Amino acid sequence: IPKGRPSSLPTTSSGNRFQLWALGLFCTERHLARRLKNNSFYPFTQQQPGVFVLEYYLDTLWKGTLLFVVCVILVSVSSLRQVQEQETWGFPMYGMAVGLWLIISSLPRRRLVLNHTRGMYHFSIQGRTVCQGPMHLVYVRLALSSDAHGRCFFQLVFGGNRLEPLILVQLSEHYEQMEYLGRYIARKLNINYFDYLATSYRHVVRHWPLGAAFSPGIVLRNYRGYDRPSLSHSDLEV
Amino acid sequence: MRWQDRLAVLFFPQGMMLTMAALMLFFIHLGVFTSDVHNLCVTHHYEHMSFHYTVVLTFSQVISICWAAMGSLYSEMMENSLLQSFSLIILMLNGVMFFNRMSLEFLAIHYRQENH
Repeated sequence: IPKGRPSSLPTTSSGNRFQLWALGLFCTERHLARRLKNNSFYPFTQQQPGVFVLEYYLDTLWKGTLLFVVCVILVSVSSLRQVQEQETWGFPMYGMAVGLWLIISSLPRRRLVLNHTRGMYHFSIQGRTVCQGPMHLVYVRLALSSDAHGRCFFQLVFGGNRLEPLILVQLSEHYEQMEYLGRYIARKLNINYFDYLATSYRHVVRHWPLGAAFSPGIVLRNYRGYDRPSLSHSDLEV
Repeated sequence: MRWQDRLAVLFFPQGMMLTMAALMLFFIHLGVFTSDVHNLCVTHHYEHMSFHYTVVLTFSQVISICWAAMGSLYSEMMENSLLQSFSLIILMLNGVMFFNRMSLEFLAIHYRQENH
């Protein structure tokens, strides 16, 4: 596949390429809200009207580097190399190999372009196209995970077909704020938003698959049945 | 195509990389196993066997089985029957290797017992 047009555009990303590395220890949704106040298209940057660009490095880069450094230190400590006549330097060697692989595999720069003028998204690693497809295949969604006491934690995830899922907000308990932020991001980027349930009246679907508008299937009728006002609202926006 | 492109495309489907790593580990284990069997049964140089590496070898066998299992899970999601069968075969080979190693260890324990 030859290089697409978006990758040949000049790279004028004013955004930080390491902005997705936030550890998310506390107050994550407030952090995201502050980011959104600075750049309303966060995590993307607007290149032209309707064209959003995101360049990033995976956060496994620093994790792999940390693992590699720790294992090098462990290998070089001579007292740990042999325990009870058993050679044990093999364990940190494994860590070194895994860390090296993590570093190498996450060094290439990822670039994700949402092009609304063509209605396509385009994902490339180091200038090489990995996938591109229609706009209804990318989305912002909430993901639910619950702990042993039944408390629910929500993650805000940017995902898509054959994309690496990008976690915008780590685990947070505040459903309303997360939903608001997710809907806000989806509205700004003009992409689909999905709730954490498969069937929910809180989905905001802006892009349908091509055939769905002409031959409405069960799914479409289902959504229509659930919320007419929200959907017509989003239809008006498009 | 530049080598960076090759790297980027090679590393993207991570399941395949796990399967390839498991395959590489399998070959290493196979080499160690054959040299052990050779030393035990043919040349009787018991001091050349890998007794000092038992812990690391067991760990690495388990790790290779785990990687092969994860790679086979990934390939199940990719819906390519050739990849699926390949990674399943790698998983089975690693499992067989583990049991071979275990029986060899028991055999070696039997040899090393002091019978008065």
